[in-house]
Amino acid sequence: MDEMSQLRGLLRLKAYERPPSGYHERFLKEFQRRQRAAWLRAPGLVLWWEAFLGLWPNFEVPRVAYATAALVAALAGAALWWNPPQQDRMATASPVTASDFSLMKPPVFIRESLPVSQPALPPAPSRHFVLQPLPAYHEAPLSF
Amino acid sequence: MDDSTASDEELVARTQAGEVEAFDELVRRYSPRLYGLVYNMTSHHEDTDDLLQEIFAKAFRSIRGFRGRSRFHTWIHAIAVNMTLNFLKRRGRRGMMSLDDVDNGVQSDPEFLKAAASSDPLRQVALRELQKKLNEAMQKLSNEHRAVVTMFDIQGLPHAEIAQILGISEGTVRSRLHYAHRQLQNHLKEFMKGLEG
Repeated sequence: MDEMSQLRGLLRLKAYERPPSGYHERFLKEFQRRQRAAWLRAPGLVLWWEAFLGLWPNFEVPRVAYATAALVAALAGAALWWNPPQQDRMATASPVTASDFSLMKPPVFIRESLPVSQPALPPAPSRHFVLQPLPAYHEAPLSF
Repeated sequence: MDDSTASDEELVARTQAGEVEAFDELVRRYSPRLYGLVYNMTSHHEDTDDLLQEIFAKAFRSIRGFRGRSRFHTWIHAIAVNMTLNFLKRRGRRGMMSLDDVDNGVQSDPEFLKAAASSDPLRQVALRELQKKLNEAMQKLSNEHRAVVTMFDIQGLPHAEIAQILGISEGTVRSRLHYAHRQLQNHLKEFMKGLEG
């Protein structure tokens, strides 16, 4: 007998190895006990979901469903990353408290003036003023 | 109706319809065969027992998804092999099992004991020693090679079904078998010579 046949013969002997007698009956009882325990432990939502799925025994999630969902999520994430939504500054500002006022410096008003180019005007005629000898309102003093 | 005479397909259909007792018959029918598969891959009785419970629990949870594209036999073997390979990977990460831990306590079948007793006592002792060495040599194989040897040489599954269970080609099954046999021969060379003498 060559070595290979001998080896195969030995390996076939391993098929005769058995667990202790009565093992398989005990195994089935233990399986039933664990199944019942798992059923009792399962949250109501899980039981409801399993019952719900049981209404459509032929329902099968399409093979590409998970891949498609992952792709859509990745694309949405990438879009948000490139173009984050503008946040409303007022909405994000923290409410003003009394202590904020105490710390506040007095407002500085800066007069905003913009240089405006004015059209060139003809030179104004030179004016001169002559003082009148009498004030504009003058009454002769009363004489009695 | 007597469950023991019902076909696998019939029992599966009844389980899918909500008849839990039909699945009990499938457990009764498949636990000896799957025990052999898992035990020869783990070489540990307690691990086999726990794994077998998990395998049947998973099969029960997933049975609604079984569409009959393959035989139930192939389907449940695929669950068992995949779960056992995952378990062995986890066990490998936790720390390799010592060869001292290899379980030799599983009783041999009375038929085997009768066959062994019919030969002379010295040969019987040598045979027992060789069985022990064979278990150790099996543990030295990689998990994937051990799975193929278990299914082909011990369980007698054809190449095509092993390929279907593992999701690999028949050519890969053959090459893994060839490599595993060479490894086993190397590990057992001395003992096999002793057996011849």
